[in-house]
Amino acid sequence: MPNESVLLRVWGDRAMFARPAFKTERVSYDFMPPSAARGFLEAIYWKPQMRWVVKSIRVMKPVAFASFADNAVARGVQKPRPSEMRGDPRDLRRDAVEDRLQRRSLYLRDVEYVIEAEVDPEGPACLSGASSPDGARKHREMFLRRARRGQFFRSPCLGTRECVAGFEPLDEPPPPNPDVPDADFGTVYHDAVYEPDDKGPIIESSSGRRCRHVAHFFHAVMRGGVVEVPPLPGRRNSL
Amino acid sequence: MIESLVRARSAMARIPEYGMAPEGYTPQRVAFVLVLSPDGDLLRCERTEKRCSMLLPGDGAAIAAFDPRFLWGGSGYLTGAREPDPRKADKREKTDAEDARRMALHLKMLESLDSGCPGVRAVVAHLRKWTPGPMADGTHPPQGYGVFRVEGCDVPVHDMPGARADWERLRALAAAAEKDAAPCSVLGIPLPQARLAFPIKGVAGGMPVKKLISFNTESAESHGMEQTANARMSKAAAQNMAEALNAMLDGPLRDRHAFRADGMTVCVWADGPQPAVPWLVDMLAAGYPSAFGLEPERAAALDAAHAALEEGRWPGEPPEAVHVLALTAHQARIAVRLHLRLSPDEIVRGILAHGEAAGLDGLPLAFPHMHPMLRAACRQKGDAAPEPFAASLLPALLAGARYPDELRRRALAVVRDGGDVSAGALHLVKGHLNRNEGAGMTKGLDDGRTEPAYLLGRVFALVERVQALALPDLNRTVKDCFYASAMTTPAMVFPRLFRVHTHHLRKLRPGGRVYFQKLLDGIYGGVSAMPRRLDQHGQSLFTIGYHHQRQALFAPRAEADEAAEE
Repeated sequence: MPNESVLLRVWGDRAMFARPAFKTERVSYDFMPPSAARGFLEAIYWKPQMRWVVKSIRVMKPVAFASFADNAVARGVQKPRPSEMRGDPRDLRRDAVEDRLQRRSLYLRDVEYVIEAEVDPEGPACLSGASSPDGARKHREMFLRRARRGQFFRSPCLGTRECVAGFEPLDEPPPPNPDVPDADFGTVYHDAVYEPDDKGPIIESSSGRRCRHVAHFFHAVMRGGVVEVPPLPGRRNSL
Repeated sequence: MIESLVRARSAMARIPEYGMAPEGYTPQRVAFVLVLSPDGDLLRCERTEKRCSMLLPGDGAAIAAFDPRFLWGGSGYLTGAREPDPRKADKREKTDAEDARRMALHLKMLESLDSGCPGVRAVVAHLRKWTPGPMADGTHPPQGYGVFRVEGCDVPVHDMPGARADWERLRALAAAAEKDAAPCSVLGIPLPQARLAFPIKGVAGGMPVKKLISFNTESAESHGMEQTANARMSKAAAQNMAEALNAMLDGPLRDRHAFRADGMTVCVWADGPQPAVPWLVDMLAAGYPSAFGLEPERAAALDAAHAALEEGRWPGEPPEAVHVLALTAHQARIAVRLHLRLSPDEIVRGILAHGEAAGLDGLPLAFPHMHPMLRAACRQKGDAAPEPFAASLLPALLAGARYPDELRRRALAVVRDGGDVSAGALHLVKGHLNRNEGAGMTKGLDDGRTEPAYLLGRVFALVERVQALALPDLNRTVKDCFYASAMTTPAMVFPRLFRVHTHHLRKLRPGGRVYFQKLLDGIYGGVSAMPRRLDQHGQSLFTIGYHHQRQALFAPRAEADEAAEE
């Protein structure tokens, strides 16, 4: 294992890595996509001077699904318009009971993964474009200290916040589970790249530039319980 | 799942029985034909036969208000006017203006092609010189879709070779003009994105128009995108997926792919040139009303499949993989309750394992069916299972998964409440004992088992048999009166049962009396302590012990008959 890589074992009773096409009545991917793995790592440790690059994901338990009904709300909390702010405050009220949306979701059940990732010290805050030679090791060590102590900025989760997860760093990759057969998961969401776009709906918080979200996908094949993740095309600017 | 459906659509298009239209065409009901002269004069309007269907160029019915279809459409697109609706007299001016605009859009689209086809030229000439309004006799074309035909031609204009070539050219131009090509979440390559989802037919429940890819709530949208754009699917993938599902759930061959199970719609298809797996559908659907009256060919194929499975092989040519998809509908949305993707070997192993785990001597099915196991949880005949348990039972039948705990609990509750110990309940209980609890139950009587609950079940069967021999004409037996309480609180019930049993024994002949007494002593002697209460595990052992002993009590008679004949 290269020096700058980290191994993190994550586990939980349920996981919901919702497929893009199934966001209302949710259906999970068969395993943890790289973007979810990146999010998990960022919940433990992240700084604007670095970004996480997921190299591989090991599936340690057989893929199993379970269907659950859950209650959600149909409308999001939208930023009120100025006219609404000047009007009756009661019009801004959002009542979850009135707005109830019951739906069925297909979760992953009893999951365990080992994420292998490395630090890329050229994050969006690195304006000069040159990285410090110690940058990757420094961030890696900080991450490992936090992971060993169970520290995090926000609770890491397996896709959605109700899917509680445990985690611990590993020194060596574990042996594959013989009960996990090889599988072809098809096209799976990789991660997002935010491309500059003057008419884009998203504003980058660090620079104020408008950009648009471009999703990238890759063909995920699991061999020996390992899904190798290819590099993401283009740079990703963290928001 | 979606990738497999897209591939299945291609396979179905090569099989005529599916009735699938080639890409770029859609079957539609046509109500009338406008006959034109070669110069574009409207000669007459002919009504078609009732329920006339034609293959028309286009992806589907016009869903946008101003979206002309190539050489077909409602009367608004063809004559710029429609039959006035007396109920909407106040909106007539607005409706007429919209229809005139539709006709203008249709003309603009056709003029852009500069076609060399005489039929298309005739339609362009007609649209150029026609004033929006009724025909010469003051009538309007009937409601519905219409097409054009040139006088003297046998085929409609859209079926003429030149028109078909123009349509392909128009499609290519439209595809090249698409600006929003983005990576497709299904196919993985940049393609024009789907903006609207396609409805899925044939799923039970919910509203008449339902969609599998649905973003009809704000909370499901993200990154500033609206509606189906959130799916990141290409239009091609979304359409092919919908067409494949509709063909399997609502097409002419739907009985080879789909069945309804307790409010859920289950769809089965295979990866490969032949998407249908009829024998598997028949096996899973056995017992449901939709499966009654199986045709002789299908019944023979199912028998052949059973024989092949017992030999441990897939019947016929094995496909690459088999998919089982369970869907339920809620209002305008369809939810996926289960998706299994299994290889033929996995399915064969799963079915054999299910037969081994849940099969019992004395019951007719080597591979117990889903329907009777689900019915075991219903209190009344004809009730649907209280919760769609089919989705949790299917993996147990096909993939070696655990049997649902809740289903076993409900089946035992039905028995305790006075219900019959049905074959489905027996299969379910035994399967759960073996696979979930590792009990190692055999199909027939196991004299080596020492669990008190199992032995008490055997004793109960013995007591029931003795009563039947002593008092053959009873309306209510010990089973009717005491089974439920013996299964749950044996310490309270068995002392009374033994007193009754003693009276019954006295009525038997000496030989029978000795036989049954010895049998009872041999079984009951293994019960070290009478349990006060039996939990779910104990009740399951009791049930199986009861069944095993009942079957064994009939077996010695058959063996004795064979010995006497020799």
